[in-house]
Amino acid sequence: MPRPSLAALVPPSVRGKALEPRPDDGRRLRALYDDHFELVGRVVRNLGVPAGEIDDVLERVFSSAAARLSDIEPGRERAFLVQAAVRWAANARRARARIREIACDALPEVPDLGASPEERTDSRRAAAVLDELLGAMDVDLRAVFILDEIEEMSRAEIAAVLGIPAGTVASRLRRAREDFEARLERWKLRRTVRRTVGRTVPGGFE
Amino acid sequence: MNRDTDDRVGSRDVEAAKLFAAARAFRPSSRARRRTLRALGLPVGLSLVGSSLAHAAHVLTASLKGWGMVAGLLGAAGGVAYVASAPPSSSRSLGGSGSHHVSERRGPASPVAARSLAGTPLPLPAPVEAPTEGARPASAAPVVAVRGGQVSTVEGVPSFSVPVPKPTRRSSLRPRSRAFPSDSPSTGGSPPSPVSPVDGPAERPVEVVAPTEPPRLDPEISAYPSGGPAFGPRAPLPAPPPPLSRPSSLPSSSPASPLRGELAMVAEAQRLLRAGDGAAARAVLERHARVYPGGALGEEVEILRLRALLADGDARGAREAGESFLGRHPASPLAARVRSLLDDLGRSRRAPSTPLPPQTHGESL
Repeated sequence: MPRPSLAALVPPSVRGKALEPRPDDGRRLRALYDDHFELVGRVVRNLGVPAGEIDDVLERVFSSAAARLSDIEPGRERAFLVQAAVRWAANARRARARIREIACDALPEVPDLGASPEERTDSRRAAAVLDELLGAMDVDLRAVFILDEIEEMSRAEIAAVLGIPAGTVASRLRRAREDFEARLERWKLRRTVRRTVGRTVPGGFE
Repeated sequence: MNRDTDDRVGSRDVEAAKLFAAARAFRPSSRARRRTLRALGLPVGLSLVGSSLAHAAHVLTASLKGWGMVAGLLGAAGGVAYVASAPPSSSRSLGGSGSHHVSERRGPASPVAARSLAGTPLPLPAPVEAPTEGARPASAAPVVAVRGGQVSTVEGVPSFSVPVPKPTRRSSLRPRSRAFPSDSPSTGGSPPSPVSPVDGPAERPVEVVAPTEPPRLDPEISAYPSGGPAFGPRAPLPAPPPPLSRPSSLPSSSPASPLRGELAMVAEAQRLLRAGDGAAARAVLERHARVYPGGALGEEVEILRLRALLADGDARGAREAGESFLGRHPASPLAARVRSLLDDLGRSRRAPSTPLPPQTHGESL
């Protein structure tokens, strides 16, 4: 009586798929990192993850990609990574909302009255302002918005990357822009007041 | 597509365009890069530069490391095989009945290597003089080691008996079996142990023990006795061991026993002295003087007595003992030790009644 081989015991749905690491996995991970790391880093940052947690989120995003590498279809790597980034960033924001501590990677900055925002357009200042303007926005809206405004993707690209219909992209984009522009106007107004008065107005106009 | 770009806030508002440009300039920190690379199992070092050369270097070093491991394991296996195939080694003759062909080129290294591999506290079998004739097969039971013309037993180390053609004088080779007959009471009825004498005549004719009649082994002969050599830290025994009269009851045909008995007594006295019990140590030493008048360790015993007197605070007795020793053995290698002890005495006379601290074993004699 012939004994069944071990290979016959493997269910056909799994056979040959994830059991043995494919030889080009290392090269694929390498390409994943080389091609998309900076984009994912920007997305994570601009989704409002505080600077001290960007490392964590990036590591988790790429770890999940490595774990599910065989599930990622070739050519869909960017979509997978961006969606994972949105998920993990939302997680980080939720976790941050739950805890009472204030996450900061440095001591809180005393508002510098001498330098105007035009003179300090470095990325840190811009990040702070963006977070201030986008802070109240929902993550899904914010993802569509930053992919459009910062990554300058087309709507079709955004729909593909986020895995949502194009109509959804359009409606979210419209709402996000309205929200952002309103906040931007208020921010400008507050800045004008700050300049003319010469000191910070506590609480602003909000 | 055009509609996309026209609708953008960044293309309508200068302030927003500045904000977005700055946000676009964000780069993850090198720490984030390192962590991510580590999570991906990718090489970290050169890839901060982002070159595929780093990957090639990683693969190369990883494969080198892998083959290095293989080579190392093969080498270790070869070493084990060599040791196992060495006939005089103790591990080989555990099998017993096989007939060994002793090759002449096998040096004493293989028993040493086998012992170190075994890692057991077995006594080290002495190097075997390369026999010219074929060695007789050893039976499993007799445990006989041939040491430069002397036959001795070593417990737990199976060996073999070979006819040794030329007994050579090897005074430096002392048997390593730690037998202290005076301290093992159960050896009372046993015949004299076949342990060869240390100071016996080396020119004695070689005893070849036939494998058919193995020498009787006393299980305690080579085990560490309870009151055995006081090497290392050991809790002091409250009293000197009772069977100290044992050496005198030994048949005089065993020339090995007196020295062993003496050694055991000296060791006992040393231990008592280290424990600070000078009186008990002196009692042992006096018994030594009674049992072995003119023994081989007379000078050592005298120094021990001197130290026991010092430990008891009997400075005068110690001084007398030391001076009489120096008068009788002025050229003794132990005379310097006596002088230093007397010097200490002279110094401590100004600060009296402080017993000497217990000394370490290395300077005890």
